[in-house]
Amino acid sequence: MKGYYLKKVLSSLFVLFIIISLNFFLPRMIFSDPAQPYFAGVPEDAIALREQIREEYGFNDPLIVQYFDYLGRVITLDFGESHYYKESVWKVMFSRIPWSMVLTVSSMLFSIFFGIIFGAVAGKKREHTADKVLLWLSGITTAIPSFWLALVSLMLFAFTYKIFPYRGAMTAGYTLTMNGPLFLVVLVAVMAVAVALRFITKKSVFIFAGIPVSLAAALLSSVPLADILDVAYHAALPVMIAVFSGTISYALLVRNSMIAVTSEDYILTARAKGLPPRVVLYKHTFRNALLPLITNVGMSMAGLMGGSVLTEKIFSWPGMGQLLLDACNNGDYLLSQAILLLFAVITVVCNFITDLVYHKFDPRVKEV
Amino acid sequence: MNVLDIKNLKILFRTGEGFVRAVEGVDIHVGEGERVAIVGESGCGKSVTSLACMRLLQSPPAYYTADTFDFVSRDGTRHNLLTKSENEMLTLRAREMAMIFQDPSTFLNPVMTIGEQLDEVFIYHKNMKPKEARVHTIEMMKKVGIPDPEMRANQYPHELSGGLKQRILIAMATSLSPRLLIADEPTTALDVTIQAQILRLIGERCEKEKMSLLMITHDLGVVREMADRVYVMYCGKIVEEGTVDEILSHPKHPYTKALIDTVPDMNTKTERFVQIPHNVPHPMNKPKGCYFSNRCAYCTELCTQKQPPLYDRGDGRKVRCYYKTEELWEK
Repeated sequence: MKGYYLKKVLSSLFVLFIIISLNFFLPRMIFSDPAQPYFAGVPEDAIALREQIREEYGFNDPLIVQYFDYLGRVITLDFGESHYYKESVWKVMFSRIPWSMVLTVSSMLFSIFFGIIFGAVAGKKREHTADKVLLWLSGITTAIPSFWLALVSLMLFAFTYKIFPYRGAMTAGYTLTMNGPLFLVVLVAVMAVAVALRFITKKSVFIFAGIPVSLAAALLSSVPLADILDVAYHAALPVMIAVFSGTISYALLVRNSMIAVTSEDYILTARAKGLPPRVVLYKHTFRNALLPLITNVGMSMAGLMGGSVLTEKIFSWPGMGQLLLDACNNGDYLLSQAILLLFAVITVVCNFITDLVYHKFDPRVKEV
Repeated sequence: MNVLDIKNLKILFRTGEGFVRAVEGVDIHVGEGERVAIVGESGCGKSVTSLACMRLLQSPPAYYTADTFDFVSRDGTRHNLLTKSENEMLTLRAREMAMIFQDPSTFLNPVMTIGEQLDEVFIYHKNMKPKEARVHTIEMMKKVGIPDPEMRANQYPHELSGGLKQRILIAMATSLSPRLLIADEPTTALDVTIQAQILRLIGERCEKEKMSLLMITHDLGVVREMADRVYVMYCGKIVEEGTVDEILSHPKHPYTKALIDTVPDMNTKTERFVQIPHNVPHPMNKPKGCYFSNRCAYCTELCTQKQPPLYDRGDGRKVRCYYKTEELWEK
């Protein structure tokens, strides 16, 4: 068992190393000259000054030296300063991550919730109304790109009918008055209660319920209600669009695995035992049908902090996706490297966590 | 009194190419405490017949009709299985009729512990609390010879061997001592050494709980061991019926004889295993006359034109063949 986890950790570290290396070399192939952004304001003919800047930032060193220099800085978590924002890369990123998470976390939670319900209803009986509707909708969401849907709904609901705002995350600026320490204290306190309940009652449902409940409690206690409502109003349209396609893809997943599980032999055993249909459905079929969903959710967890580039661009949402796009456009490669690295690390960590918790749902995985 | 009484059972499946006649007018009866076997190759409708008895076929695509399709429960009530609602069936399954399946590794839920799966029978049929049910579960596991049942109850199916899993399925099926136990090829997926143990266990359980047994198999060794009476099925029809000794030592139907001939003899070394020529015809494409005519060594003009009826020989034997005399086998 210990060996299994050790192997997982080591292979994750190895994947991270490869990602960090790619992360170093790829931008250097894309951007014409990594030093270019540093010359802003420096006249074309001040060649000596330019050379001096190059020397100062280490662009004249051999690539391999720069590479190890970068590795060293990554290990010490020093990403430098974004020359565009004139601030530390960490600070720029952390001002944007919460905004991305507002969109991604809420749309993911809603998508999973509605997706499971819709999928279970559709998968219960094949070729019935709910099933047909789901298949139709999935055809539609596959055929219509979500950015197009976003554009059309923006035009319709924000410009023509003016029901929703058309840009930004808040009416004025995007700095929330947030009581940071209180947020953390409430978050930790509620989560601690959930964990305690888990150990008292031995029911892991408390852990799963604890995550959204503690987040909500922490937010409500540390941010003024007016601000929360303002953000919710601004987030409504992008979240609805994400939930629409998210719900349908999760529902399709659940529906397909429900149908696959229904024809499994052990469902026949459950029916032969004389169990009522609802018990067969929820205790036997549904529980097995959720396994693919868990894998899928685990993998898309990585996108939670990453946000969606297209959605954020269209709705001018000040999130990570938008930040990455701007960083690329501005040639702010320290920032773009750091963002890409963060995405990669989150992906690896989330996959690792999914691996760890998966056996809770599928006991067969334990044996690996 | 018969426990199971089936007359002229027909089962159809609706498929993309039209209706497939899986079972075409089958008469089967199982007496009190009797052990009956249905024998035949794969695809001859025996499994479908057994699932129909439990009403476990999904309809659609399955449709059934019968002149009589009765099951008599322990209190003597006659239940018409054709007209029972799904809810009424729930009170018959496991309590009055239960089933053991072919492959124990796929017939147990992989994400539930053995104990949870056995508990369910007591929880939903006897309205027991989970703790109380577990006591009965452990008791049941002891009865089917599972060592260290407390530990096994908390394990998952993949942690058990095939033989143990089949014992679990037997425990599950017999825990409410039903009147009729249907076993659908219960030893097919097991090692030969385990097969005998499992068959003995099924026999013991039937005797102890006074259950009738309907055994589906293609293994004539199993038939010899387990059954009192045998139905030989081919292409959805009964082709021969009789007691085990009669059928195995004096087969009357060419198909029965061919089946017996395919069993390798341990005492003589043969160059090739005996096999029945060709395959079972596709259900959409059965021969016009006798369904066995295209594979039969004794086929005549009449056989290819007209379906033979099931001749009743009067001594409890029935044969669906024009050449039902002993002389046939002396040729």
